[in-house]
Amino acid sequence: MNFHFLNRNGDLARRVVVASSGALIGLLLLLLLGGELSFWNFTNALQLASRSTIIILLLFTSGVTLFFTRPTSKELPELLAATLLLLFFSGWLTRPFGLLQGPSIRGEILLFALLATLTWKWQRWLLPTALFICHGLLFLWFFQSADGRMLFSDDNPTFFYRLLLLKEHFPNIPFYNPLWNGGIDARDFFATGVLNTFLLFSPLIYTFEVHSIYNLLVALLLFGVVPLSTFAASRIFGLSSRGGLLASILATSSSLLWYRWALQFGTMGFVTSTALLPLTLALGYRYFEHERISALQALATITVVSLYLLWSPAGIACIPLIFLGVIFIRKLLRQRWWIPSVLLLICIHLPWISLFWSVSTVGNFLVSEEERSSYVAAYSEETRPEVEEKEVELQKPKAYKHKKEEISLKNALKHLQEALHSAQPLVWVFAISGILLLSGMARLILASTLIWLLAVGSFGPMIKPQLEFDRFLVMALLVGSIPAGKALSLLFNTEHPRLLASLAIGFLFAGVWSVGGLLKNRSVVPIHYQPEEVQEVVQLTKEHAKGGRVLFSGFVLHDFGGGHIAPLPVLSQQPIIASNPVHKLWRYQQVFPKEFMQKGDSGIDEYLDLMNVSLVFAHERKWREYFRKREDLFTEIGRAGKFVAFERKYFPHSYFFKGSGEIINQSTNEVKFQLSSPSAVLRFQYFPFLEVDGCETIRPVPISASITFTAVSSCKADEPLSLHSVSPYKRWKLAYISKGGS
Amino acid sequence: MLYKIFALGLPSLCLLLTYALAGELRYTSALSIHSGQLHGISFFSNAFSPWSADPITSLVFSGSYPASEVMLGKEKYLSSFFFLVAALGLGARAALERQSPILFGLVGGLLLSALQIYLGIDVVTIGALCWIPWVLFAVSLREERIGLTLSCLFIYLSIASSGTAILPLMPALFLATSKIVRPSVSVLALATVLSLAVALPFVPDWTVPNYPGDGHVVSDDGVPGIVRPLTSEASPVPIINRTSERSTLFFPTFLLAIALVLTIPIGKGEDRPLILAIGTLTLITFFDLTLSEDLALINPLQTYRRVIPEAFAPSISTIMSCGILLLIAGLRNSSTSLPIAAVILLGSIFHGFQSNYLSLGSFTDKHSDKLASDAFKASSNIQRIIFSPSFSVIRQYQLSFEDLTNIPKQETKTQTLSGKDFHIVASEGSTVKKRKLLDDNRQTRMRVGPGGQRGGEFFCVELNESLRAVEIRLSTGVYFSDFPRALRVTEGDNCESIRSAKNAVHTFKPWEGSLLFTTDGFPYFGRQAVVQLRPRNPTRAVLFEQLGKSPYDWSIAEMQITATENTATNFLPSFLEDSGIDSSSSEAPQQLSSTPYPAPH
Repeated sequence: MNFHFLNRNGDLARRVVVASSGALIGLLLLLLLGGELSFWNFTNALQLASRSTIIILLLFTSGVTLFFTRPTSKELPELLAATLLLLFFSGWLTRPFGLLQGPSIRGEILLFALLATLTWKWQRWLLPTALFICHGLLFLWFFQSADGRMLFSDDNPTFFYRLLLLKEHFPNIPFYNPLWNGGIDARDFFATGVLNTFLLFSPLIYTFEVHSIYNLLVALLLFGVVPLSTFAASRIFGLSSRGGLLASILATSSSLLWYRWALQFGTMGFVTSTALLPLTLALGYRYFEHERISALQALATITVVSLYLLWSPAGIACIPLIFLGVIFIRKLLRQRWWIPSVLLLICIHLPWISLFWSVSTVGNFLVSEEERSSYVAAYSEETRPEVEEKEVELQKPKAYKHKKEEISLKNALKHLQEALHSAQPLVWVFAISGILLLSGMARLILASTLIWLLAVGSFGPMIKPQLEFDRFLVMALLVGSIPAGKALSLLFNTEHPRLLASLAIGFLFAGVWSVGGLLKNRSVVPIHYQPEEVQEVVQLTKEHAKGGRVLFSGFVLHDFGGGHIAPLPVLSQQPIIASNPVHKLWRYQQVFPKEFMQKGDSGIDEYLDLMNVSLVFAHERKWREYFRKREDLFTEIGRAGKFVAFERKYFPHSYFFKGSGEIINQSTNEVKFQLSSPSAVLRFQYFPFLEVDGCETIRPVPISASITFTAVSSCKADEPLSLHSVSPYKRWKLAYISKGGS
Repeated sequence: MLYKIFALGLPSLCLLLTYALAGELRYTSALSIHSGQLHGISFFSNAFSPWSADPITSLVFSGSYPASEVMLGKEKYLSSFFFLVAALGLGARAALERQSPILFGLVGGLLLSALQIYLGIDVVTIGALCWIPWVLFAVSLREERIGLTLSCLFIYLSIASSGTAILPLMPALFLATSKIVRPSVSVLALATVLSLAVALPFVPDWTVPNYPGDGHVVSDDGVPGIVRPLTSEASPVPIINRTSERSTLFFPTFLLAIALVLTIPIGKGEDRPLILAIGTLTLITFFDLTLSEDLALINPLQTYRRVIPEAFAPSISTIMSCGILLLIAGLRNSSTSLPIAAVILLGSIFHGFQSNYLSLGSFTDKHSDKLASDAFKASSNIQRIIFSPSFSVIRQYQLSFEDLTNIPKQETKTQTLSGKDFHIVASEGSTVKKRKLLDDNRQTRMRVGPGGQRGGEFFCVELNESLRAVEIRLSTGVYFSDFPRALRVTEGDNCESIRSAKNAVHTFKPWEGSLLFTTDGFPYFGRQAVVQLRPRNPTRAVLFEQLGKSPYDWSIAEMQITATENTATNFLPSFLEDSGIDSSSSEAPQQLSSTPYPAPH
């Protein structure tokens, strides 16, 4: 048979067939990634046959058409662009939790597509200009929405607190923080990755007040580092400037989940590493090239990679790169600076990794999925009263967002579908064709990384739920922006406007506007900014603490202005006790330990006395009623939002359980005190890594199952003494040499 | 090149400014007095500020500017004045050109306009248009300096009276494309910008009233969720009454379409782009008004409003359309645009039939005296309340001027009733269980009727002899969709004879929700799932009859009756005896948590 009419000379019939195969592939993608086909609204499912039958038919027909047309890689973008048309008319855009939230977003897509068509002959300069402006608009919308208030959702206040602590104490981390819960081991800088954010923005952090620049740091990360990193990476991978710009705007608007992690959850460590991932891959790719790398480039690579790796799971994303490095070791060895770079990276990271491993319980954490029960939403009573009703204090809170499941393709596909529903469709539609447009190691690195990230993101939550590998799907979308940018650049490279190219521009700008809507809090991602309630709590704490500790009854999760309560000690300059300052608990846990709750009122009073609590805040109805009923012991003195403050009429007024003395100062890393006796027991939690300047002996004094106070003896009388952690080096020694670590 | 930039840029700029400034529609509503009754007129339910006359008119009629409130009662004189201004302007323009097509179009329009004036033209329309002919006159003067100065003046007056900042830019647009460039485009554009700069400070601030998130002021448009602009300021609740908007704009748009169809055959080559542009605009507007809401939502017109900052509130205006085409007629000397302009002018005048009228009850001399007093400074908020997104609510509940200015002053000792204090009579098939209504459990319910809502289901509450209900609250609990679709509420002495006796009857068709007020006194609908009513007088029995149709049951999960001892107390004192307005305060009446439903009409 003569298929000359299907040759590559632009014959109309061939173009029709190519377009048809594009539509078939589009249908297939929609069915696989969407779960089902629907028209206009996702509730109008089209059930022409069983899903598997349709998939097989589509595979067959698209395979046949592709076989006969054999489109070139340059035709692939246009071929796949047909998917956009199907997306427009399908119910995809009306699914909840999508970045492009229909049905109204179709209007924005159409409008921008129409504008693109009308202005097509100027698009060579108009499009880059518009993209630049879009980046600026995103900055503007973010600050408009913030309106001078600090971002306060979920972990944002926690990260803000960690940045404050790092500003004060880096590099002397980890350390002992007496201001929380009678003393805690402040060591989560490593696990959370906040070090990368801190180091990246250290000039700003050391120059200005962290509170006043926190929003700026977030904005610079999301709308500065992400696009710059993606643009630079795109250029290194061989894209044109326009392709790089397209990739950068795609990265900035890659998915709703990205902003959920960044703004709603506030996981800045992950966000910083992910923002640097494209550049990390690109700089790694440079080592495979023939062109020699200079010392400066090697230094830049080390810097970027070091920042990237400071978020502990980040290295997993680079496994394909490492693997390729092993395979193509000869190419790497040709580079003069390769071995020094690797050695320097090891020298930089080995110390903190080893310290991190020793001070934290990461070993247990990595295998903890076996003990965990299924996910239970842990909210305080105000949001889920029925949870509080079913509260069982005797249970340990062992739950995570995901639970360990049987590994199955179906569940993996479900995770993938959920991520793609929330994504900018241009990324996953054009990433494949973009990869095929690249060549050599660029193609290999990006393709393998994408496949790896998708696999880890889809299967990982089933295997290790505690590591939240679903984030890797977000990383995949960011990385996928690079090849997608390449493909789009080719698609737009026409003299005359074309329907699908215009539609792609419609989707592009609709994505930017959708991010704008998200920033303006008009999406399913709730973003909280510091409310007045926070300042009111701070004020009440400052005024009424009267030298004792301040306790928050019940379970405090996101009740503090929508975020965690972590920064309160620094804001109020008072020591605080709460269930947990950060998000380590996924189930309701009472602040009063079990052994005291079991004793009833006397147990609660005993605990409050032991911890020298002078002021109590209650935000749950039951606890408010409880303290109100006990007006012989508690006086209601004010209210800040949902938090009602009760002063204790009688409390020890002393941080000395035994002995006597005076607390000179409690700061974020030490307790300065003076004794009037040679020994004493301090109402501060004991840790093996503690030492006291001016005392010979320090030892634990168990008080209950959950309280171990610190006893000091043979101390210099009437001289200032300091309780603090040993140095990080000494702690490392304790862990590896003395075997007496954490 | 400059020509091309202006030719392309100015239309875009004009369109952008149309929606961005949105001053126009804030000035298309007004209070007026006819036959002792106070009326409100609004072209759209999203006309949010009362109309204000231009400085010259204000000074002529009141000696001060702005002076919207004191224009009440002077509508006839205002209309005549505006007509005179417009007629003179058109005549002056015609005299300059001495061209018969223009004269024909203007004379024809004037004649028909004169007829309409005597039938009752609204002051807002004519006030918005009357200075535009003078703008045409000024831009056509041969002496450039005089023309420029007068252009600035009349452009400013046009903006000030109509708030239509866009209109004065149109001369610049069409001068750029017309054969006669006089004065120069850049100069005229500068004049327009300067005029805008002068006028804009007088545009009052407008913010969406503080409706709560679960309230609403317009009917559900059938599109799931709330559609808001993504990036610009948005109301927390939908505020545009699309039904009202469609009914208002359909007729003029239809006229425009007819006019276009008629003029296309006679249009010359040079008119084609213009006809195409206007035709496209007409088509887009037509689709906006005729398609179902989920399709109209993605129409470029509605999308444009969402994308442009601050443009979400208004819609396209016939005044604007009319003004655009009037200018086209004046400047283009086009045989096709003149008939279009004449038709649209007529349409904008006749569209008064589609305007939203609001009757606010009687307005006597006593009321006038009150308005003239210092106390009215407080009640001037009433205009703000009336011409707000609450307009639809006021119209639906037929609230009067007094209703909006009164608050319950008298507090009476009340009690929440328990099951032994009342009994219930319900229609056949109902699952009557008092216990379920009072168990504080939102998941247990009583079903009224055999199932579904077919119309005719009823539920009557009769209190014990010594008690009188001052408030009844029915909630569907977790059965959110089981609210009554339409309600008739009858007050009486007992359930047996409540229908037959001449008792107070109030009908809510459809049932939009309980009437509630924000802290600033803006009425809004509460959730449909909660029927919360407060009789004008405490009553012993209340009958609720369901009049609508729905496949969902009518469920009552919780009921709360607040009652008092058997006393007769008027909770809504009259406006004059106890106005509820503190003359020392300029604050609006405090929040009304009750639900006064309208007196029977």
